[in-house]
Amino acid sequence: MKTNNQFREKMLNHPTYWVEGINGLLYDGIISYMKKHKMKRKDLAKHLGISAGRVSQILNDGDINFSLEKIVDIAIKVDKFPIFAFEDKNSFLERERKLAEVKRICLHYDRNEVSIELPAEESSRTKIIPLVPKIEVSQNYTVSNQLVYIYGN
Amino acid sequence: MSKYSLILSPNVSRTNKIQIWELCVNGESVLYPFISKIQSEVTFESDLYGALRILELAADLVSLPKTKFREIKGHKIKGKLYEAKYGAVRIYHFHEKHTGRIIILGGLKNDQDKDINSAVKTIKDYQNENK
Repeated sequence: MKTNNQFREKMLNHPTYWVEGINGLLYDGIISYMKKHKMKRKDLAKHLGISAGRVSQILNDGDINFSLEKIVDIAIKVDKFPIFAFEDKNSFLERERKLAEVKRICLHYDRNEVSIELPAEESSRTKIIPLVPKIEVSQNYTVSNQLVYIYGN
Repeated sequence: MSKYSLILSPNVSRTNKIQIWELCVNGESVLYPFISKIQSEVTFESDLYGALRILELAADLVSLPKTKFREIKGHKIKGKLYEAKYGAVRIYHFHEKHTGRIIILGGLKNDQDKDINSAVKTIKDYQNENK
């Protein structure tokens, strides 16, 4: 099975990934606020202190493209605190790698087992177990056909 | 051996509320050739990053505008078929109950119609195999 963790790392090093995350979360915050307060677009424009055209741009395209100060201002006005965190790249990537080791499993529908891809040195900690219908075990991990796996036993 | 299998996507976050999988055909992820193609051509690389980020947000149940994430209707498959898009890149995936989001295909805007047909055909084939 080919995987591409270098690609993931490259993606995390690109601004688009993070900017799109902020766009999405702010859009979600605005939509939630509008629903909660039963607001129309013109009400939102007035509340946020921006033009109706700009509101349409946000709601139609999800295109925020404001200054940092305005993003913070909008977040607060839709009842959200914009909590930013700067995390060390190596720590973040290391955590992702660990998550990948635990949860990278492969489901083969023609075999009565779940295989787990792990680095060779970790293989002694890996257990492949037969499928047992309708049970849930470690990691709270189950999938549709009740495949389960145990790691680090 | 069956044609299809699933792998938890190594190309997206593992901490989403809904797990994201990649469909593998004969052991190889359907997304892998698309990623390789985009990386070799460079032009749409940031679009691909954006589209995958949108896919992650959707799997975290974040509301998104239809210009970035939409359900594709008018097909006859079990479950919902979705399109995550950013710039010229489209990522087609569907929701399988108790499994999560399964990436079926990556494509470009110009090939949209062809890719949607192909995605629907693949999903039907996959679902038939796993009946």
